[in-house]
Amino acid sequence: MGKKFHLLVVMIDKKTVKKEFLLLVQSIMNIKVDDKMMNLKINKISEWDSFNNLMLIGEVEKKFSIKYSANEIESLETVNSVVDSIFNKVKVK
Amino acid sequence: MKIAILSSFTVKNILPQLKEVVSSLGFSATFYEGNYNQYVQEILDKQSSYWKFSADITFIFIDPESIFGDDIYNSVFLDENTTGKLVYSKICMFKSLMNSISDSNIVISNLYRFAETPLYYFGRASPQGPVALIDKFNFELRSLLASKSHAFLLDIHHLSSVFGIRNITDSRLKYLGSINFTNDFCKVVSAECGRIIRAMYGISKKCLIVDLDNTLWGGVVGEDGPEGISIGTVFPGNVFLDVQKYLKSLKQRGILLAVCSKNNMDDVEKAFTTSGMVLSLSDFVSIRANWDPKTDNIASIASELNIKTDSIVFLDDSPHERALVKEFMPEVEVVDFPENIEELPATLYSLHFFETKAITEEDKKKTVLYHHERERDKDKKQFNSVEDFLKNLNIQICIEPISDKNIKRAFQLVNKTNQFNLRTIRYTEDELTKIVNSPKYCSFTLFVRDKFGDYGQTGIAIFKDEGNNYFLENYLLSCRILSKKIEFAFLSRCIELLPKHIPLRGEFIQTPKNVPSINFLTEFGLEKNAEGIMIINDPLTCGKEIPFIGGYDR
Repeated sequence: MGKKFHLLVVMIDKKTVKKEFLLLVQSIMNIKVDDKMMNLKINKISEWDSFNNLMLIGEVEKKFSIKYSANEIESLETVNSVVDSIFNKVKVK
Repeated sequence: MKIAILSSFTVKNILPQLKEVVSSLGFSATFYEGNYNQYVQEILDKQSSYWKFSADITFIFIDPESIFGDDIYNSVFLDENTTGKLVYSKICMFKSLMNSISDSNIVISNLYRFAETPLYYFGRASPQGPVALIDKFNFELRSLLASKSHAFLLDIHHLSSVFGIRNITDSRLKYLGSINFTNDFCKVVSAECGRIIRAMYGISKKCLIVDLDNTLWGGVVGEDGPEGISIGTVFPGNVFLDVQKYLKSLKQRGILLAVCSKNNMDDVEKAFTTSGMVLSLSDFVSIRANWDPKTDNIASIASELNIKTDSIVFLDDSPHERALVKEFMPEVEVVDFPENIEELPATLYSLHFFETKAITEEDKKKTVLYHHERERDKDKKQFNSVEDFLKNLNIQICIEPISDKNIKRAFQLVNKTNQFNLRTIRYTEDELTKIVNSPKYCSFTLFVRDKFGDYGQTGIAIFKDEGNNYFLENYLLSCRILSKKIEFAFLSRCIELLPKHIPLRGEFIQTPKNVPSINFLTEFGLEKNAEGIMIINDPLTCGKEIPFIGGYDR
């Protein structure tokens, strides 16, 4: 039974994570993040202030059913690192 | 509408939801967000951006840590006298903030308790402990806010208890962003802010129309007989008992109750004699027990009570009837009847159609006033002409300046009167107070009685001194005294009371609702001059004398 259940879990790929995540960024900060911006530090993006970052993480948690600690939120640096962190959390679920 | 949000913590995440609530009330609002924990400085410095914004409503959100600081942890070591003084000094600060904001309505949140109390049980039980400190502060704040007409309480303590104190905060938001409330709790707070704005602007429905079977009692009286219906102390009768108690309390505070039920009148009368009934037939101003479509009955109740159908709330257990009313009378508010009957009392408690800041004497006797009107209608049929009927009514009027004694009801009249209202200019209670105290204005209010009883305070006349003439800035009469020529007698006598005998200018601003007052200024004697302004040079001579309307002193 347990094995069967595991087989039913839909695997989510990184591309999808990125796409869904960028939609959330757009709805909260009203900015479109393109591929050139993926390695930017989030504190260099003016709309991405600490308040919006917290609101974003809240939405990310809801969307992907994952949870961040305060330290994890503090250590997010680039846009890419956020996508990676989501993917890593979804993977181990 | 301009709304300022000042706070001791970051409360920016309330904005999206608050915007939604405000726009659902029909207001378009602009917002000002104060700087983080700077509300005292922003209010005291009259040059601050807060003052430049010139808010209509100022919300102040506060939290226990910013108010009491380390005393939250230390208060148990102080004596009772010292903690009392501590609370008093904080309340005094809010009093002075409140007094310096006289141009804006002010809403102050009280303090929520801690989920984890410092010092554990002792912190909760000690009369000087942190919980006691918060409770004392909240108690004093409530009295302070109730004492001022422009001040309102945002009861965060209550909202957080219902929501669960542990759920109002997310430690990560708190410690990383000084955001004390989660987005989900902000939603609850925004809804309460909507209720407060309703009370502030007097946005309230006037009448609740209810079905009977399975709505006011369990069972169907036509089938089960009066002995077979459930009302009382045992389920489901105890649910309906609470429903009836709630309706009775609405009636006592001035909401009109009416019945619209597919039933025989005979059965309905018998049902109301059943023991255990809280409501009696006389609690309802109008009863329709018949088999006509409910939409027809609702329209006929509205016309009988002389109210618009958009001021009606409809309660009925039948999904079919609710759907019909929603479809054909979208302006009527239809209560979402719960699937399980035990939820009905809670559904009623959570309605937001009947908000008010104060209950006036007129509110308390409203149902009686409508019963008097019924007797007048019966009496009217005995007379051949309307004039004979009016003469026989023995109408008497009393005019008083608007003052502390009558301003609460004056505020209600200004904000609720639609039909006989020349300009439909609404004021907040604070704006009205300013007009009343200004030497530029003369403001009067009207009381009326006749042989059937007292109509109470039912009219407002506000004259603005424009130098060479008076301007009738606000003139309105409650619909319950219309068609009795009182509008002529009231204005004539006000003109006699004005300190100067100068021309009177008037203006009529048409709304979808004030057709009954469309011709009044012309009928009273004002004429359009060459510039198209409605004016009368010697208003003392033009007012129609209504000989059968007498005067009295209150």
